[in-house]
Amino acid sequence: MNTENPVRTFWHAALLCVALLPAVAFAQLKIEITSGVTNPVPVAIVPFSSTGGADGGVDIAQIIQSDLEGTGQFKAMPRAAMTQTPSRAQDVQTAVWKAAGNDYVVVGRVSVLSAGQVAVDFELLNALTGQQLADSRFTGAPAALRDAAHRCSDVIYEKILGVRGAFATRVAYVSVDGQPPAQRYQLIVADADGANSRVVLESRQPVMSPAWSPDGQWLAYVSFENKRAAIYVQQVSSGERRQVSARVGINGAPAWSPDGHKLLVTLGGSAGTPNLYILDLASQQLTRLTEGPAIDTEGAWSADGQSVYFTSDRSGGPQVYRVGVEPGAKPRRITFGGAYNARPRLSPDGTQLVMVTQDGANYRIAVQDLASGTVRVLSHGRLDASPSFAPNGAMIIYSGIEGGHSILQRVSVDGLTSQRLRADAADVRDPVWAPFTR
Amino acid sequence: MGLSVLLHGMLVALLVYGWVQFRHPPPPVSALAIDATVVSQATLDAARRPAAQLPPAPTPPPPASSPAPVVDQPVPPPPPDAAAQQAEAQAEAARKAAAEQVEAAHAAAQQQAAEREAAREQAEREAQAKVKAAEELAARKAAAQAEAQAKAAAAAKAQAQASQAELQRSLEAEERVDAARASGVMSNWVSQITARIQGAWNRPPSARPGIECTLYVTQVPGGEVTDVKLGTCNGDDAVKQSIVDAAYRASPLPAPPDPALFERRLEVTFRPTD
Amino acid sequence: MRKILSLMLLVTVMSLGACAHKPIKDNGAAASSQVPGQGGANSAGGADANAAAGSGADVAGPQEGVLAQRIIYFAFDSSDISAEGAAVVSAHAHYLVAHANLHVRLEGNTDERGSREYNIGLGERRAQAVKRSLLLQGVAETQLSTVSYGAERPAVEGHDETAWSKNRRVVINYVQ
Repeated sequence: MNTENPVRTFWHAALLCVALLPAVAFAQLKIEITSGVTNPVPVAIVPFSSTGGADGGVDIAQIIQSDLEGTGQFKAMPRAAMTQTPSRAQDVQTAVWKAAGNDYVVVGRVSVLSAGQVAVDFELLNALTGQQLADSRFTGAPAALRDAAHRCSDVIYEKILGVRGAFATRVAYVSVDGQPPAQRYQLIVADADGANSRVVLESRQPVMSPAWSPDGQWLAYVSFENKRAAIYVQQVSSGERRQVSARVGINGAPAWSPDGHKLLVTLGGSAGTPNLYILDLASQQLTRLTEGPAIDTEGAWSADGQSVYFTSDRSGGPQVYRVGVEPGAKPRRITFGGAYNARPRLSPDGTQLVMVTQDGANYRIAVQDLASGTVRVLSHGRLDASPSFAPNGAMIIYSGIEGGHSILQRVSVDGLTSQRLRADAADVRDPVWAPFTR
Repeated sequence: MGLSVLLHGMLVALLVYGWVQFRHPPPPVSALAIDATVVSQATLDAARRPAAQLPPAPTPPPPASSPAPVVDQPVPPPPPDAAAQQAEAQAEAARKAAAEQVEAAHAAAQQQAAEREAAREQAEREAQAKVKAAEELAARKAAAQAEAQAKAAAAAKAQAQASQAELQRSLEAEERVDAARASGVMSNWVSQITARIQGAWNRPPSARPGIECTLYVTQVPGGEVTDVKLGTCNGDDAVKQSIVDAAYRASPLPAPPDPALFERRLEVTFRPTD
Repeated sequence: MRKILSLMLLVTVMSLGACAHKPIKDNGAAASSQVPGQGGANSAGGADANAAAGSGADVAGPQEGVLAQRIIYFAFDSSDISAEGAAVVSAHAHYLVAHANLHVRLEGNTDERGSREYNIGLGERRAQAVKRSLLLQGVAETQLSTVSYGAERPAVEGHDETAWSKNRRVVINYVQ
């Protein structure tokens, strides 16, 4: 062994070491990203396979596609462009789908489990990395296939965007047809996409202001069936119904407290001055919240049940106010932009308020950030009304006039995507989105 | 700056320690699988590169991914026969190792240019003086040994000269990198990569200001992204997924104007401001 | 296959039958289980409550001359009674004073613009304006009741001022 070499090379090594050591510690190029884009996520939803006619003609993939594209945050690959139609994750060649421009691939199948039970299985794959992100199975009766499809959409939406999906939810609304004075009013419950509609109340007198209980089982509403206004609560599944306020004058604008035990109501009395009251459903005890000759109505609870937002024209025209529920609380004005701001509703996270605002000569839906006071007008119609948040806070349903009829519309909370939900030829109005029930 | 001085001080201490120990065969410092009886230039080079293995060198801030991607393969052990083959193999290994060294020099140079210049000059002076002393000692030893050993010594000398030449080349490359950096060519390239990744990052709703996530991206020459590893991230799963997707979607990354500037490893920090 | 299909059909039919509750149809009668709740906001005495509870079927009422006019129209966002409206109110005021056994229900309405429950309040304001005018002219309070339909019962369908102007109204309905 050569002893001369080691010494020499050792010194050379030491030399280099001294020169390079501090630099060797940080051998990376640093990049900082401060913004991105918000493009619709390209996703391929492959038509689900169906064994033994299990899907009964229901196109699960199409329902998922409509759900996702309706949010404006996804762009589905056209079926005509699909060269393969796998139905299992192991049959998916992600490189092919990635080359076709997709970030994600959804595959699935419907099968019969037993008599009266079908199963919907699906997988969600990331085409860029090849990773499988989700796989789920939903079982149920064939009649519940649409619901299963919406639950698939919920999983996909949440995995990709990190926000809970609200596709497997319900809405309630009022439908009016016929010509005055012979109109027919119906209170209807339907899936959030308008399908599976069911009439829960029918009347020759007006029905209005439906409101879902926090557990999604009851609807409170105003009915004029006795030629005067009265508030009822009705259990949707059974039809069981109770009248909870038929006091003299106005009985209106019911809103369930977050704990489901109280209703915020507007009572006018014989003097006809509408004010807000809290009605305890069990004891029928009333607690007054506002007073004065102004119109105070359209109350909405904060998420913690400690304060109430409402419409008041005490300053001349309708504006939104907030008042605490504790005795002696004074209302504070919340809206300051424009001459008409009414019908407040809170987002599920309590940070945003949606309302009807006058925008020029039009009545439109606007969202106000409660912390900053910034207002964003979301809709573009002439007579938009009755906005209601989806339970995930990502969309708002409301009614608007189109083609001479009142129809339901959904808009994303950033205002960029809207969708029409056409329901028959009747006028539909007063939509209200049910809370999550699962 | 203080860290650099500390490192150099510790290195000087190491040198002194090593000099005192020079009578004894230096202990094998390599953690790689190399035949320990042949202590070659290449062996020591390979041993030095992952900085964390040098006692008592402080460990660099650990990236989330496993370090030492710069070492691609262990140096192959030479065949155990003729000294000439051995020398040739050693020379080849040395060239390979030296080439790797150049890459390491590239990687290192961008971070500490000014400090390195001063430190290098000073260290060079110090080390060269020591080298001179060691060489005198070695020459005396060689004179007392057999002809075969003298031959080997000559071969080793040639090898050392080759390493010196490599060192010279890497130093020149470093200077070029420094010049490029000073002239803004480097920052242009960084801007191009930034723009590419920014355009490829599809932000989910939860990627709000306040989110800070780091991604360690590995590319090969040509810009193809071959590996993406998530570092610290205070975002939810959707944010994490979106930034990993962004790196792959941005591939191939734009090439640097000078191939010598190519950087294999990128540390990409996502910090949305709006 | 056929067995499965018919089984599924059977199950579907059964499940549909199970959850299909006939929508509740009202014929104008009050709902079955009423929670007693006539107190609270009621400011007058029992008389008002009786009058309100008595609001049932409409009757024809007087048809002579201006009395045939039952509708008072209003300007946008206003509950001020115009001159023409005042004439109609006056005529009915005299009639009601003369026939103290008769009752009327004053139905306030608005056009469709704006939010629905706020419009209930506006309609009520209009009905109250007519009520005040009648009271001032000697009509007994027991003869009067008010209800607001807001924008829920338009007289004319339409989304322009022609329709709207016809919907901003108070209707005087004679009841028994």
